[in-house]
Amino acid sequence: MLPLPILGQDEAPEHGLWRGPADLSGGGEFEAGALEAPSLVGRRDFLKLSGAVAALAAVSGCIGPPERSRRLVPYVDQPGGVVPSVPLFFATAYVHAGYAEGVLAESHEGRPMKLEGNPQHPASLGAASAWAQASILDLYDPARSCDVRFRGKTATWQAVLEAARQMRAAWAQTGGRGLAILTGTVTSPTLGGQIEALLTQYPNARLYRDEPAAPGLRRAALGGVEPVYRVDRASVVVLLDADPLLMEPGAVAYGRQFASRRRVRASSPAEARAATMSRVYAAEPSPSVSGAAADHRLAVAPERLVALAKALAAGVGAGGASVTLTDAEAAWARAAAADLRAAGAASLVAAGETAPPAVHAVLRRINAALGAEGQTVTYAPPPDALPSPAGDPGSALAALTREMAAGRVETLLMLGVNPAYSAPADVPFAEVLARVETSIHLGRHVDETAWRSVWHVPETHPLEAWSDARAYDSTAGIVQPILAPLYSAAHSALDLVEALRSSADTPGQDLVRAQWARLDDAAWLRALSEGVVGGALDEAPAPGLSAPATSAPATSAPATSAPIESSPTPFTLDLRPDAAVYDGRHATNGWLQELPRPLTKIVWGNAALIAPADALRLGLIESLETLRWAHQTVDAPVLRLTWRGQSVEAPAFVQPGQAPGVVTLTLGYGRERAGDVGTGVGVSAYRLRRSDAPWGGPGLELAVTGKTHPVVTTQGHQRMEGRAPVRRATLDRFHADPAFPTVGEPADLPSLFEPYVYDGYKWGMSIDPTTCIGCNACVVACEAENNSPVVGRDQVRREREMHWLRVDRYWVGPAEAPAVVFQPVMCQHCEHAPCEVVCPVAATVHDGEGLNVMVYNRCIGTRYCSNNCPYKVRRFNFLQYTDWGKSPTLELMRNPEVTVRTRGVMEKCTYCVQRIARARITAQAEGRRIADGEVVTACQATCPTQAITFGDLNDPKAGVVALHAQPHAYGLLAELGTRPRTQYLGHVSNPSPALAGPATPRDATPTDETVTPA
Amino acid sequence: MGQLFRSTSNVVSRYAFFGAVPALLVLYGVALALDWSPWETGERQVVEQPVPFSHQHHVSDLGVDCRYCHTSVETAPSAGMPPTHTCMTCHSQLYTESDVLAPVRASYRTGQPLAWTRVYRLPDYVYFNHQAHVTHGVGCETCHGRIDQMPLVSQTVSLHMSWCLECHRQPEKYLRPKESVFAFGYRLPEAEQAREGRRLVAEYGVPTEGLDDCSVCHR
Repeated sequence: MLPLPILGQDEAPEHGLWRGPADLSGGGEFEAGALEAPSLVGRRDFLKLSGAVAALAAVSGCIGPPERSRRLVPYVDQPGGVVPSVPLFFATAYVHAGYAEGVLAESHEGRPMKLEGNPQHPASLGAASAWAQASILDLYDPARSCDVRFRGKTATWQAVLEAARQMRAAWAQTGGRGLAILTGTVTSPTLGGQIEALLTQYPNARLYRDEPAAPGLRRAALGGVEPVYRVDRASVVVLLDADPLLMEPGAVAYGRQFASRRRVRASSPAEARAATMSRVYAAEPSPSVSGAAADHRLAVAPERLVALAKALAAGVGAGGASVTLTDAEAAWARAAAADLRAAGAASLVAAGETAPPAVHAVLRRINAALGAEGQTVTYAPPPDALPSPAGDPGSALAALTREMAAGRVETLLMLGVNPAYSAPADVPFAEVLARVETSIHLGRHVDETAWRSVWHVPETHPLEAWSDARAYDSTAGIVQPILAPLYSAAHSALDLVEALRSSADTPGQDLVRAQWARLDDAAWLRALSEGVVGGALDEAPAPGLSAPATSAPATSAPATSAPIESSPTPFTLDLRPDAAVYDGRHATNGWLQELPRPLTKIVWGNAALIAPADALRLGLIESLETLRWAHQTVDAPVLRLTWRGQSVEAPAFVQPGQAPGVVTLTLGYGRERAGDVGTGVGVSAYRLRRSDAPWGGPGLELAVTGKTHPVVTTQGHQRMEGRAPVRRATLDRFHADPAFPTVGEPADLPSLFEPYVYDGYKWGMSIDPTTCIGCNACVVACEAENNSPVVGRDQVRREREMHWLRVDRYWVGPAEAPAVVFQPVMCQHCEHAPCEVVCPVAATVHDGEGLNVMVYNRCIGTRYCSNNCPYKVRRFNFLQYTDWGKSPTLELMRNPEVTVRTRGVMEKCTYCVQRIARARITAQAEGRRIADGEVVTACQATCPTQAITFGDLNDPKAGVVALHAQPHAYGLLAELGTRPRTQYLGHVSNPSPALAGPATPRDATPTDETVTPA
Repeated sequence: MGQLFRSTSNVVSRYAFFGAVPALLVLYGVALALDWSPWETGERQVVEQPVPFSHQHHVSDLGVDCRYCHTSVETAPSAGMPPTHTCMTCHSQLYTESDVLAPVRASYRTGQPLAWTRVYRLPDYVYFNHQAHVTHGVGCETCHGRIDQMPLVSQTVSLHMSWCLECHRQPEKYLRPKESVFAFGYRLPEAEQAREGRRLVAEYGVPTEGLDDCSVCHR
């Protein structure tokens, strides 16, 4: 046998880029065992099986399409404006944790199938978050609750109305004594008005608010206001445990603003020299999306953030407190403060909800001292439609639970919340819920709370009912239904509250219209069609400057941090909402469960994130080189986390960039009743949570249990074998040499093929990793648009996830403080596609516009194409992943423009060929060429930072042509001669010249980068 | 040791060997013929419908235009099926007691739509667009045949991909002027059609290449 070298066997990965510890340890090209011949099936058995398979295939080929596909059902009375087979778009809003994100719902004959961002809505600006994209699956979720339940038995809405009538009669006597209402964040003016009217009607009723992932600590610390950022005005951004690009209600808009200051172009040498970028500093305990986007990321324990904030304040002359910092912290704070001082009003200092409360007032002082308040940040009352609960923000649920335990709550109305799952460990809500005589739960699932409640009313999806909601900046928008509720028993919160208020049974539409009575009919219709209520017509408090910072009462808020030295154990517990399932509300959504988390790439579960140094110290690993268990194929050791008397067991996951001594666990897992998808997935972090310290704190004890549990992560999947996929430079280098990614590479590689001239359309894409923040919205948008199936944890473990688009995450530099680069990778539509030449049945071929097309009906599943694809972007249907015929609701969800694939078929990104076809036919009918911007791929449309551009390379005015002409554009693995149609721009960062050392992302050229493992 | 096989075995084995090849060929031919037969393609088979709607009567006898019922044929992928309301514009006045129209009246009364049975069925992975064809000079007749002479509708072509490709590769052979798209019985002598077809291809901007790319119809 020819002794061929195995890629990656002996060499360290080049260029200092690594995707997972296995890359650092030189794991080799093949998984363990992959080089041995399989021994399960012998040659004879294999041949027998092959014969049987062929025979069965022939039989199954005779089965025609199902009879119902023969039916052709017209309308009885076709509604005006509806043309069957032509989608309509309606403006509405997706509401996440109370806050609105404007969307346009694409409706096919009344079936909403896809959400796009609403360009006119300030929280969307045309883009949409992964959560908004995934909410389509929530609508058609087969596990949705479809019946009213009373004491565990099916009941009817009529029975609810009858019970409500009796309650109203009783409350009229007592003034609503014993009635408690529990909601999440409510920004809907109509629902807020309804609830307030209910409280006025029954003055003895009590209102409680519980939002597990946004308890309002920041709001309380700032005296009732929340910051609203203008990231686009900031030249210097300092983030202290803040994740404005993912976790804030305005994240999508902040992403757009952020990208506008990070994008660098070099159409001419002068433009290259003049390119500017904002500089971002981040200090946080565990890597976040915003931290990954920073130029200088400092991994610190949460309790160090207060000291850092004070050091920054001292550095910019906003109050002097002397604090003790480590060398790295001091250097970081010095550089950040110097930049802040220099930028003045064009700077922004921000902290998130998970940061220690004491930092917020300090940061507000800093922003005021810099003159940034009113420029890059305004502090405004949040858009809540209900008064904020008095007292400690985390204590509302605890107070309610005490009332319930004391028997003072006779009727408990729970609107869209799940406290039986999400209550902290010290709040025995689930136990005392049984003592409430009449508990009424409104929710989309029979969840932990519904199960324990007397009444459960199925809730409508936002696309099924009338409502309204405000965005992060208080802009109001109307939520209009796109279809009638899939289940007739489903009702909205408005309906339920209305039933408890009066016997009028006013429909939700009339309630919302009455709320906006000041809009005349023309203005109302405009609000409906645009998705926003015009500012002048909205009476909400406009977000403006509130009281000056000095009067904020929380400047005296006690610092909750304790010095590291005084903590009883070296570990700090750090809880935070999950990037996909959030606080657990999305645990039923398969798209989100299977969405690789931005930094860990973990799917279907959570894990205790632990710093590499701590893993070494605990003896979980002998050295970083033996970090094999952090790879997806090996089980992770299970740790027991004990904090303030509560313990949970969770698998450990070594997270590069994690602050030493900090163990992070995300909320939202360990659901007990979340349908087939979410039940029993992961570990519930709520079992460690305390209502007085919702994000954890020092004093965590860790014990190694000796057990193992598989942590499924896609970080090692689809590797491109240590070539140079990501090319990086600093802004300084970019100024001098904007063509840095292609230095020393031949301009054009020789080819054996005759050149083909594309004289019609020539589709191409450009991706800018500099502005990609790794938020995953594109991944979900692609799934929704292209009917991609969910495959489940076990199949992902076998590297069989069906995402056409993945976001590769590369670490650069040492494992303790690496820089992060995200790179979305989908089919590159190579002009010389390696997949095409190996297909024995010509199932993947080129079309005249340069698309590498995949013909499903020809594919026989040899998988040769996937083997020959250097980008590893092809996905194979190993099993019948798409649910056929079992879930009628999921069939309603499918995009009718895209083929639903079956088992045994290869598939991959098509550049959204259905959208190209739609534009082509429209343009042809009008006798013109497709204009630039007319074809927008699903990933491009949803991208908050506009990192993806698509268009016709033969159109000289197209944006994508200008991007391909950039000197820092390069083809991914173009050195293989594939001539990819997708090009990437070199990644540019803007580090401070004042900072050197491991935290500094270094200028990575193919030659000067070295790896320094721990 | 004696011979295991007698000399006749040679003949048997020879026939078996050389006979197998033609036998397989015949089998293949039969399978192919079956596959291309109306039994498999559904050609010329009348499909039962809830109402025995006669295109012949409505189109030839009454002169109703195709677009009166199939309203979106020029603007959308789907030609559109007439809502019950369209039927009732006339039939609220005419044949109001007719038995065959009872399902139509019932649909109008109850709001339950009529469920017709599809005659031209394409597989899921084929995306046909009426607008693209009708606006570029492909006549209804080209695919649907003399529907103006059909009391009950049946499929007149095989709908095999090779049948689609005949036109996609040589559109000039089949195109007709836009004013004749909805006409029946339009036919030019071959030479004239070739000349006229080339003119129409140029006039309508029909691509001369790439119409047989997979991505034109498959997505």
